[in-house]
Amino acid sequence: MNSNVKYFVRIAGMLFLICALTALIIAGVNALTKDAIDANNKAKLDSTIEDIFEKGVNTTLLDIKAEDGVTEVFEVKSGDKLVGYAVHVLPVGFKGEIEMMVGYNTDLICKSVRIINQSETPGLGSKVTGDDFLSQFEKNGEFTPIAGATVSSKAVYSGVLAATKTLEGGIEK
Amino acid sequence: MKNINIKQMFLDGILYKNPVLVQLLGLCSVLAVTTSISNGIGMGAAATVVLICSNLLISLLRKYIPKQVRIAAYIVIISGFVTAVELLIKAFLPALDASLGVFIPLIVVNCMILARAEAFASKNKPLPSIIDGLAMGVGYTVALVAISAVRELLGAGTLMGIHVLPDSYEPMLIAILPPGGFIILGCLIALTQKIISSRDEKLKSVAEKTTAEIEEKEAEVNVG
Repeated sequence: MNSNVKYFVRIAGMLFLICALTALIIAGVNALTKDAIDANNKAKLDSTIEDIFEKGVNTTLLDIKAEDGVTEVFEVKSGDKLVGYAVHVLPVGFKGEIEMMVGYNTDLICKSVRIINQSETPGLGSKVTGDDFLSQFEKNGEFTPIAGATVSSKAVYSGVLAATKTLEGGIEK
Repeated sequence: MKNINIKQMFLDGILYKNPVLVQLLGLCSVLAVTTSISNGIGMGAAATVVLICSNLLISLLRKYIPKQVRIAAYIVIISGFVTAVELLIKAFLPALDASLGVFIPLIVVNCMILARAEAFASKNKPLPSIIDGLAMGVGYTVALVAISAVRELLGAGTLMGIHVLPDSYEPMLIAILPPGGFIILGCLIALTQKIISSRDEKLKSVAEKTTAEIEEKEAEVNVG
């Protein structure tokens, strides 16, 4: 009886030790890397915003009630002059979230849409990253989805809608 | 001491015991990833590195992990290790994360890693385990590249992103979608079996010929 207990304690104890050590190591690595990862993510957003507007703009995070999928709204300034707004939005596509940045002019007209990350079907849904598709958001007109990639196209469209709605709800023109 | 035959290990990894085409391991990620050759190479490279490291780790720890809880222990160790590596890459190598980042979560659940830990690394010393990891990883990458080449060519008319088929070619979309992937995978598995069996036939016939020659010589010696 006693040796049975010892047997189970030894095995369970070993497994516990392995799990505890692994958890400790992951926690340690997480603490080590958290700041660097946050900085990298911010740099990615900043470079996309610079791509939409111009190099050297600075951004300020605005506190606005966000629509579905919108994570951040930035006020974009060149020096002290307001040049527009940028909205970080992640609509749900065909296979997960499509991470995009929507740029607006000071009068809240959509300036440009950039896709940061997507994992849509290669050759089909992934075509939403192309200029052919994205340039239609810069003009007024009817929305045309990509043939064979309706879900991905509509996702980007809904992302732009949510971004516009958020801005119009929070900024006075 | 078990003698390790490196050449045989690589032959096994690439052909006779190919993790994808013969052992049928990790097929879900194979289907998801093999839509383009560059994806196939990326996934193969990332999986090979993880496999080598996990084989090494499991082999080093093999004397301390109780047999009765070994699978649970392997899973904890492997996924812990991959998670730590993923965090480090995201933090200090953002360029690598941009190209290979999406594959890493797929590798954690890849049964090939667990299978080699159980079948080889837990029973062998570190150095042979590293070689096994490399051999299986190379075979995995070869299989992925073969499958993605067919799927990319048929489904998009390109190879490595370069248009090789004429513009008049209407891409066979199903090749990029899961059903097409299954069919193409099945064809490649059948092809691999054909190659293996034809090599076995050749070896068998060589063995039979040699045995016949030996028996002839023995007969001569006995008569003479």
